Amino acid sequence: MTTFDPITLEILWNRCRTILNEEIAGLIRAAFSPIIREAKDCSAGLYDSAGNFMTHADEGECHIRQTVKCLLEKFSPEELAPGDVLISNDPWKVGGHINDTAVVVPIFFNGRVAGFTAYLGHHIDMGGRGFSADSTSLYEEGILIPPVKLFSAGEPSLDIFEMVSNNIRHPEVVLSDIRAQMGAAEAAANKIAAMMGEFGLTGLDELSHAMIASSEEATRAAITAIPDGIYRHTVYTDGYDATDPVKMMLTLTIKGSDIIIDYSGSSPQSMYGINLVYNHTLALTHQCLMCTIFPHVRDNEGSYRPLSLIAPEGGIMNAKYPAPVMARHLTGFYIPSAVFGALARVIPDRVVADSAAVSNFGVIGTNERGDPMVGICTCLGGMGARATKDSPTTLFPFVIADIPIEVIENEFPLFVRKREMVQDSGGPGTYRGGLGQEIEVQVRSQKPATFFCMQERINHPPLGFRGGLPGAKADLVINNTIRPHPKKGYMLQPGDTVRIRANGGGGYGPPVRRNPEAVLADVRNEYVSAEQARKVYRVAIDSAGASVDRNMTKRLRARNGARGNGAKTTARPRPRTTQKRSPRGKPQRV
Amino acid sequence: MYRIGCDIGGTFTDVVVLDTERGEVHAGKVLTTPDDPARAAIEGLRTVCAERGIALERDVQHLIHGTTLVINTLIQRAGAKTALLVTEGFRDFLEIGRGSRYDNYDINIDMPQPLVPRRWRRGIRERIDAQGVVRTKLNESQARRVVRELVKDGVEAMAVCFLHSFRNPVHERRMRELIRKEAPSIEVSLSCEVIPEIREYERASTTVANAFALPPTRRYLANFSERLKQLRFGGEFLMMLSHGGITTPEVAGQVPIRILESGPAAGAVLAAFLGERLGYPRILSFDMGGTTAKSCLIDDCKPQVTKEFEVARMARFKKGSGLPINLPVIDMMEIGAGGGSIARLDAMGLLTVGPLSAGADPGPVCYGRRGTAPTVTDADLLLGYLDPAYFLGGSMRLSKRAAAAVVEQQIAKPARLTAIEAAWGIHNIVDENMANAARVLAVEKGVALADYTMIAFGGAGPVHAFNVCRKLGIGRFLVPHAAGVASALGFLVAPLSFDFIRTYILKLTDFDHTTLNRIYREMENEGRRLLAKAGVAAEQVTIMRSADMRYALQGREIDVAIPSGPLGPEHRQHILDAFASAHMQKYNWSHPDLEVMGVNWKIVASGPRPLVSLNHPDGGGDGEARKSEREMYVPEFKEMRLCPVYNRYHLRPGFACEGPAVIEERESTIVIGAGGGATVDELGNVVVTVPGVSAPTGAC
Repeated sequence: MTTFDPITLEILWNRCRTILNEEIAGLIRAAFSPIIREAKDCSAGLYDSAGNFMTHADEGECHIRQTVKCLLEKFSPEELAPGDVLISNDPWKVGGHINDTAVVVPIFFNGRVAGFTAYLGHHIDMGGRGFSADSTSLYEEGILIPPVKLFSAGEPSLDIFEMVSNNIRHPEVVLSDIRAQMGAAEAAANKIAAMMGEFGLTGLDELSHAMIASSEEATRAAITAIPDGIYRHTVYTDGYDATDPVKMMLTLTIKGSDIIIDYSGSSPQSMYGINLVYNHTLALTHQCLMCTIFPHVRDNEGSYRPLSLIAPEGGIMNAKYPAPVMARHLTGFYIPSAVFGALARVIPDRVVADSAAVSNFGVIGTNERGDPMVGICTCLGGMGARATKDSPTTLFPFVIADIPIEVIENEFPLFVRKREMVQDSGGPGTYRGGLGQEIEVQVRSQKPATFFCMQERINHPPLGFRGGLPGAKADLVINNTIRPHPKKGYMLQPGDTVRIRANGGGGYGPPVRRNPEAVLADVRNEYVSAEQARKVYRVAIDSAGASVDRNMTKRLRARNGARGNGAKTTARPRPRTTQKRSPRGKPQRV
Repeated sequence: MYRIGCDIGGTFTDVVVLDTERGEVHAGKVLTTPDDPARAAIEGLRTVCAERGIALERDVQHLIHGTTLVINTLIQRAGAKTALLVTEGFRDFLEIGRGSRYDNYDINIDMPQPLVPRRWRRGIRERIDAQGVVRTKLNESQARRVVRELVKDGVEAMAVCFLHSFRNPVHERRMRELIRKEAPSIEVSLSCEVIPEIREYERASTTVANAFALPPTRRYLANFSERLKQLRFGGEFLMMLSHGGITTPEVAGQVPIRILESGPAAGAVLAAFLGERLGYPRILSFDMGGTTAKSCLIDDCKPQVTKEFEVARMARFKKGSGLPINLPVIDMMEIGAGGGSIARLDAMGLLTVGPLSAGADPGPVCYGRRGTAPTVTDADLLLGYLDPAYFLGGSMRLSKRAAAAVVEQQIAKPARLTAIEAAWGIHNIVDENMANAARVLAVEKGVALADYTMIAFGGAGPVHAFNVCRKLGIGRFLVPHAAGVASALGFLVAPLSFDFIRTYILKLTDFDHTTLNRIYREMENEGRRLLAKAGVAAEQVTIMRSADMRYALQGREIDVAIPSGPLGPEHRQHILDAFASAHMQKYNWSHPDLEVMGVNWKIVASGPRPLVSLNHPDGGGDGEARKSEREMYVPEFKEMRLCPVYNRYHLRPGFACEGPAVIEERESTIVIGAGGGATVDELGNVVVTVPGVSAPTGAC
């Protein structure tokens, strides 16, 4: 067994990451769909010959740890030849929903498979109903591509191309994105092989072993530093219907250098597309643990080894094939609240208050020629406040970027009337949660367009922590009047508008302890109104709006004691069971 | 005739004169005058010209200038109080950016703060759609009211970034007229002029940075031009751009953001030129001045140009942690480590060096100009690496006693070290900082530095190169003539060239050669006109055409070479083929059935390659190579030892010596450690070998 001295290991590890980074940059630059090229909803990984996950590109999410292993269940390395390209979008094997499609390329070195590169992209359309939460089975969500060879020894499987192309709305875009993924995966595989030659490696497995062992050791050391114990936390989500909130119950056991993640007691799987598959639940939970317990570790198979996940099959956290899973992110974005809530009991300074849900929607309209025009948009909300600082408006803890307004208006059947932060939406606290944004779009296609709502945290705002107050609730309004069912599809007429508000993040610590000068700065910049400053932060600003009225502030803050009203409002709320929603008027259910 | 390069750094201002007939180079160096940087530049210019008997009125063809003014303005956030006017309803994209975080796992992440606070980001009622059609007319009365309010609030400059202005600039242009009417003294930057490209955040960020730097830059350039006029300077005054091209001061005064990295870029251009001339394919340039050190990795003699530059990063090495500037810049690493970097003991009693610099004023303590904090230069003096009587060729006397006293008091005594130990500590720590930064740069690019040759220049570069190379595992470094001012030579080694770009969206299925011919003709005429004005004969002009092209549904273009001469219908296929092969080269795929489109059509109009002889007129003189000897610190022996001092001006090709030794020239000193050796190559460069490379430290 070759051992690597720390310097060589460092150089090789960085070289692997650099190669993946260079090629994911190529994928992003060359992609056709704004989801990949602007929102950067893509990822890349490197694997050894057994499919063990060695490292990944810095850009993008990382939920493709298990992808190659799953594909190897069907294809053994001996069956693979140079020039083969594998593809799949099976949610249970790849990215948790059908849009996430992985292209996997074997790395050949000295005539043998040394390892694999995988490049995953979120495709703009995979057929079916479109990007929505309201399918009742996987079959409605689009075309499922099982693990297959898209190319065999350099020859394209034209049948597969034709089959896929006939089942999706934007074949030119989707197939070009797949070509861009292939271009990146093959180039990365070639560069890894060249690196092996340069450094005299005979295979990747020994390097993989060293990288994984090093990550595992560092992860275990970090876990060991957290006191042993059983930490529980339960959160409720809006769920598909307001009458049926989803319960997410987490029992986190820290024992020595191991963590047991147990979601037993959570709701059963939903009839609709808000379910998570096992691998995705594990990947998201892992990311939350990384943010808090081992942020300095470079994640790979080794950082997963100390974790074990218990999630009963048929539950919302481990849905059974062929459950619908397309909007799994609606539930998945509560995992941080569950994990941080549990960890708050032991490392309160290293967690953040609740962050905004991902507020997004899918739209299918038509262009001037009457061809389908598909769009997917996200409205970013506030990150939860931290123990020592305010938080920005961003997606947290998962990662995708905003699509520029100018690109949305070029590529999607939408005109954007507004995208701006909402004043007073950040959860008040000693440190303030990030502000939520409001986006208002107008249908600009000639014909009616289908609009799929995917809105969460309308009933369950991101909660504050340690006396911090909740961030603003999310909202969804059609034509200024109608609050539709937040997870269904509607037919909208040209000119109809939809206004979406993303949540503000929760606050951290009692707002009455916030530095009055920070409150003044917030008021001057209109993040916070003078009214909220006075009522919630108990800071009085002089009439010119230029300075803090110190005497008045002292008096305001003296009332009801220094702790203010923080404690009451941060109690975990009970699930709301009624909510009036009337999809009446213009929009119709699809 | 002569061409002159002038580089204003944080500490020194360098002036280099190139004799265009003989290719010979002369140099001068003066202290920068931070209160009025043009003063030192003009003084240096006059001194060098007077020494060489050059008449500024008629003997100088070009003066090419670069400055760190713009980047320092941004890093120190010392620009104008700037407002941003946007389309109403879109006040926050400058702050939210693309909404992504540069570190997925760091919950304590700090996002870069925009240059414009929210209260100065104001919405204006107007709207143009993606097709460039006016949907809502500019509301002039509201716009004027907003301008008045901002002016009342103390705003000095305004950036305007309306949606889709790159497609239809009419509202942005009108907005500028309205601002002029309301407040004639306010500087205005329009996004449709600074960077007419899609993506409102990146466009606004670049435009805001431009507006922020506009007032100080414009004042500076006007001052500089005025002083040149007073000297009756008869040549052409030109500015270097961040990617190595050249422009006029008028353009630089409108778009200062394009001269962001003009000074450091020249160093990279020079290193690439030397690498090509000397046949070193892989180079790490190492340019250490008084305030900062810059490094650039150069493969195949071409510095890499990036269009995704960032300034003022929150985390130095994290992409996405700074403010985006989407204009072409030579890709470099820069850290706050120079001769003027201040050393101190921190709260834990540990020795730290930089990034704070004593700059030119007050400067290191040994300059005797009111400096009170020990610096790297003070340490180098105590260690015997610098000669107090021969700094800048003796034109500036250094006080060893003052340096010793301050190092003793502020570092050695509290840390219970000898003064020499403390001085070596300062020297070694700044080297370690630079080596770490270079390691990160190499790691980012995935290269092994052992394969590279370092080219060391800048006043402090050759003093520190030996120890930095040893830390990096680099076996060889090279020091060009006049190393202390060599970066200014970078202004002169490249051909004089102007870039032009026109946006014209053309699907190749609708290929229209007549329009393209007209666009290219217009740009080429403009290029020829500017070159003629700069004294380039018509027959010496070369024109390179290219285009930014993409598949119609992509979001970013790639650079494709376009044939010269009149284009005809037959060139359509030629251009498609060139695009497909460039796309294949870059992304490893292409497809014949997809629609291709050209977006920007570009030319570079260049003059002839200048004659630059590397044979230094002062080199190979007849005097004794060995000038004297003096005590200097030899870390291998951990003590001061008597070592030989060589006079660079008396070294001939073939000369060889062993370390420990120093080789002195006017503007810099080469330190050669024990076990190392130096030779002089055919062209007079000093090539130093670094022995028994020790393992890099701190890499993991």
